[in-house]
Amino acid sequence: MKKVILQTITLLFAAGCLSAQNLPITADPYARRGRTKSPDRKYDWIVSESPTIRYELIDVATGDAIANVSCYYPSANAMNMRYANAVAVYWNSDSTVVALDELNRRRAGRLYFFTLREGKANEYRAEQFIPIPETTDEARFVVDPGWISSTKIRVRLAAKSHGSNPRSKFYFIDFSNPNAPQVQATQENP
Amino acid sequence: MMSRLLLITAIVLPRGATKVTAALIGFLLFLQGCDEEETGDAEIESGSAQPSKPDVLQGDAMGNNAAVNRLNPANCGDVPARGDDDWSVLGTNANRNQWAFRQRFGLIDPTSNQLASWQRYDARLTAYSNKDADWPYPTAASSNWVGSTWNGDPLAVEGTTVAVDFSRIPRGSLLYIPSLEMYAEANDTGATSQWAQTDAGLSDYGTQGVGRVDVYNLAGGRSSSQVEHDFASWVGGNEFGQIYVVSRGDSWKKGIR
Repeated sequence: MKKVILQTITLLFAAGCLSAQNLPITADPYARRGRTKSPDRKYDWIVSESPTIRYELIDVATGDAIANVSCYYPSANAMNMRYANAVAVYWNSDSTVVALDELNRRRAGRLYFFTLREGKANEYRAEQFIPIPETTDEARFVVDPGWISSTKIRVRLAAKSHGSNPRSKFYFIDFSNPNAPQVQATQENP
Repeated sequence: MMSRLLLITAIVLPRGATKVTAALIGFLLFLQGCDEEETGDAEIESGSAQPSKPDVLQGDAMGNNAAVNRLNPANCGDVPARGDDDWSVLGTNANRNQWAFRQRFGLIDPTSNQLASWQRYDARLTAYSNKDADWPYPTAASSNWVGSTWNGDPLAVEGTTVAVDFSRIPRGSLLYIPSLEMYAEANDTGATSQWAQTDAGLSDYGTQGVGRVDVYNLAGGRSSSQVEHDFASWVGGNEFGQIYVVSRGDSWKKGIR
């Protein structure tokens, strides 16, 4: 009897796990993605509201901000705070690089990278590694899907030129050398 | 999928367990049925960012007719479509929505005196649609903002919704676009800093400019570029022109809903 119930539950659980691999068609885009705190628990991202909305990278031990960037919609109001709080934070496994990916609202928002060494942070924009062609009318980099290894992350460029259909291009950014990250174009399904 | 799985479960389990298994299967099927009942409406209630499949299919069917209706206003049923007051390029229901919008809020073609009393700005008319990249994750007029549109539609409304830079035009403002003879609700926004960068030095970002006014289109069967092409043909040389802010913010519709 117990064996039967266990078999049934196990089978259904396995099926549930398999179907969960696909993202749901409907989802809350404002849900927090990633984790604000670094894996080594030394750093944490917070959203600061005053006087304008900003993201601050806090050294947990001292409480000091070691980096900060303005939110895409900086005016302090409830709607912009909701947008700001929906940011995605992707830390690599050894807490040396973090991607800060604002919510992609019709190409609004930016993708930042921060490399950390000896308590200091260096800021980069995705566009510094992958220039956007001048013919592009609107473009937006997003993390898609995340870190592939401890040093390599995959990003997607959604770009649209006037009168043409939007296109997505995929790239790996390798931070093995944090002073000179390397970019490599890739396919959606390599 | 779940039903198939349950069937396989019943087959592979030992015979002695048939009654227990049948009861369990029955119970699970009952639960599954309950879940399916909930998904339809709950999507709108809970604030999904993507239209449901039926909405998409309906949208496609309506959008497929958009170009036809543009050439033949008579297709719009009882809705008066006359002269330039034909917005059907924005989607089949655009005429109906614009006229319902006018009726609900008592809006008429403005007189010269009214125009003189409204705030006039330089703007650039551009188009966006539900076929744009990464649509609709998320848009201010998506279902995350239920109640933000004048008719309660959880998504952008073809014929009345426009996206603006909220730092220049407050959300919910009532606009009048003379070249389209169209009243619009500024309910959506987008990549405003990119707009400003791209249009720097152009009239829409000049001293009297409010930036782009991005007009929502229900694409239907059209691609993103086809929508843009249709809109550009419709607007003609009026892409850079004037718009009027009839009322700043959404106070104009309070008490009328």
